[in-house]
Amino acid sequence: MRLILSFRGAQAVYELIPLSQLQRGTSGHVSELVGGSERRLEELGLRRGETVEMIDPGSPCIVRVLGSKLCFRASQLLGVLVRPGATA
Amino acid sequence: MATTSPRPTRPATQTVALIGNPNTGKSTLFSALCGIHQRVGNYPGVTVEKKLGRVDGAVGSLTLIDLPGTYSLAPRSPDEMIAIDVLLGHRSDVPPPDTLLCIVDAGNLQRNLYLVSQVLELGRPTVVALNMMDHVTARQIKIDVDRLAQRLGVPVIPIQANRRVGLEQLRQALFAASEAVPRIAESPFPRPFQTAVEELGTALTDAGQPLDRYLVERLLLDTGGYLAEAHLNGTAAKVIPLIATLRERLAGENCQVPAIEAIARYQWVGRMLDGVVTHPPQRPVTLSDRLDRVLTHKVWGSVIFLALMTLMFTAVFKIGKVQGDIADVGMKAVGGFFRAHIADGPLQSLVVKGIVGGVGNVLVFLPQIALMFLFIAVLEDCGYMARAAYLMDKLMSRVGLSGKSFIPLLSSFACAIPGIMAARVIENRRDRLITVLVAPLMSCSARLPVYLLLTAAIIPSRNILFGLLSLQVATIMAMYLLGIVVAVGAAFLLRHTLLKGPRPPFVMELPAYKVPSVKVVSWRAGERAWEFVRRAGTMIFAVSVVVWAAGYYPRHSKAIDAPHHQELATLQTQIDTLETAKADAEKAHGTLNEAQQKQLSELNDTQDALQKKIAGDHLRQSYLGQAGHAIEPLVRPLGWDWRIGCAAIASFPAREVLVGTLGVIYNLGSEEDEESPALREQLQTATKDGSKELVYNVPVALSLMVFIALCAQCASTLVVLKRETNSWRWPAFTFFYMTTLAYVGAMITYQVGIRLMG
Repeated sequence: MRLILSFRGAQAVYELIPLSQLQRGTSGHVSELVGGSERRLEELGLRRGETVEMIDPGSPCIVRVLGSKLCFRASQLLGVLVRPGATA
Repeated sequence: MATTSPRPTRPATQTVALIGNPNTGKSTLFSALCGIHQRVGNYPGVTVEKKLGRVDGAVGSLTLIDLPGTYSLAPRSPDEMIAIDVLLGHRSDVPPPDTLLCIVDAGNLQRNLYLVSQVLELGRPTVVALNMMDHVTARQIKIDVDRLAQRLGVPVIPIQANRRVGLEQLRQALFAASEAVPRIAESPFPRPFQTAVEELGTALTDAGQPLDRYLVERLLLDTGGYLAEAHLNGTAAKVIPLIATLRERLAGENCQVPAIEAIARYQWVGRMLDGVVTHPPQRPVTLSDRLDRVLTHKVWGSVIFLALMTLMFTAVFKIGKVQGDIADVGMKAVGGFFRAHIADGPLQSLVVKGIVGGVGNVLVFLPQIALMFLFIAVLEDCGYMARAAYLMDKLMSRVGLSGKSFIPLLSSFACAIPGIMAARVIENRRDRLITVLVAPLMSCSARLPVYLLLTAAIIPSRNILFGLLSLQVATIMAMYLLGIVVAVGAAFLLRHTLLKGPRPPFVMELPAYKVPSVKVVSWRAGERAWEFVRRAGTMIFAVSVVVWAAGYYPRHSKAIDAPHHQELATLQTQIDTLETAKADAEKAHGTLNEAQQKQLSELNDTQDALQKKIAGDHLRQSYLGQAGHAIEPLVRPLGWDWRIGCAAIASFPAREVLVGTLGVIYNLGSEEDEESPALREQLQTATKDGSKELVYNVPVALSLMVFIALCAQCASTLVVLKRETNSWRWPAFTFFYMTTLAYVGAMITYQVGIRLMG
């Protein structure tokens, strides 16, 4: 499943994908947190504007955030919407 | 030492509370500061470990309170409330802290300062310890420590807890800090929120329940309502509508509760770190990253994990062989010593057969158990365990558990009790319950002696898998695997029947690898090994004595010994005559003639057999023998004789007594005046009553091991289960399900085994 929220502006197409869909070795910027358990995730640094890197996708996956590696289940990261960016 | 001015006002002892994120080296710092001066207990009513230590210095001593590692001081349960209560000095069972010590990972300041921002708001004198400075240097990160201290307004001490660097400065700072005038840290929240906090604080004071500013903030932020329910009672409850009103107002002022907290605190962290930390333009690929590419690899990582486990068990088994021989000699020497110094009779029998045979036979496994603890402690301290949990999570999540359950389950390989206690980190009640209910199925260190003894004695020593693995080691690993597989099955069933519920969240940090600290590792391994010795000295001692007494009394000397008195005396005279003749012949550098030699050995055999018969008769007549015979029909389908049945029953209070009990039983059943052979040999040669058929063969040994692997033979575990679940229902359930499984499992093993082996 690939959840895509598209906002069509003048030129840009912003694609937001759940963090769990981020490709191995790529980074993204957290754009939005939806769902229930975002408080805990925010305390860990998964908050709007933060850069995250997907080190090892899958479930569980390893994500680098705020300089340290955390592992999560893919299902927990469905609500963390990121804008895929440059490679790490 | 600080030598500024005399400080008459300082109390002799000061209290410091230690808090920090997980994986910041908090336990290492605690051990480095306190050494062996630590006490571990429990806070009543909750499942948080209470750990106190003492730091002695030239200027006085410190009491250090260790708090559980946490990313945030936002209590959502009684367990999480403990840390705040301790930090604010609201608990009567620990002294109120004079100073708060917040340890942070220097390489991870952004996340760590989130907690610091909360701690500073508590308004107590605070010292920040900047740990793992070596990692920072390795990653080419620069930290302006002085500027950070200036911004935070509290002392910041760079340390390397594992190398004991900076500890003296830290100690001085702690003493100095308590004298500094504490200043309530500036709130990181925007103005509208601060106003709301002030209003709520005033309302609470008016209602007769003034609270610390931090708690007032939390009341406002805790939309889950835990804090309001736990803290607001009586008249204070009337502020609850005000909380709702304030939240609504804040939402209109662009301060949505609770989202505002993370926003405000991270903004504060950003301000603190701006210009303080310089990162290299390109994040260097560290050794940890390279290691992780292999160690967390879905295939290679699992292969390495299995290889590590194999290595551990092989090492444990191999040193057992060497140390087993030494221990046998030692046991014989100790037994011989007491035999020589105590007159024949009940006391000698008690000491030699009951205590040395019981406790000694268990204690000889100490080196092996200590080695296993050492392995686990090294893997824990170097950071590998988190990777193992990561690899295992896939498996665990399939049965409805999380990788977090992995650590408690892994600790249960040492002992189910710390394992069950380690399950406290699992927030979800259902998960915690499932974890603690299956934890006793992990093969704990108390089972290891049974496995080691039975495999060494009965399982053929040969190599399998092209010589890579010995069959004996494979058998032991199979027992561990059995526990795991059954636990997985039980967890799956529980998750789908009694404890249905949604899948729990799972978050775990993978800390950077580090060279394990000798001190921390030896401390952890030593602590667990000592616990094993302590149990051997108490529980096993007591059970050994009871088993000895049950096997020794009632003593029907007249009925059993008397009829053979004459015969034994005649035999002894004949043997003595021949021995004298032999000695004389040897003096003349000759030997006995063939007929005499033959006669001597025949006489000796007859004497042995008779003494064995008498000893066996005594044992059969004893209370233990009677009980054993009564249950024999029940254990026969498992392939056991009544002696094994006795030992299994006697080990229900604590399974480590099984080996001891077997030792006592076989010693009691052996000749009175000869040094008993090693327990291993006794098992190999034990025969069924009244026949030459051996008691132990491979199916019997396996059946006994399976029984031990699956049975709930540990009273302490059941008691801890009761404490952790607050009801006798769960320990009763555990006892019933495990014992049933053990019986059925052992029966299947034996019945299948005996058919396969003919």
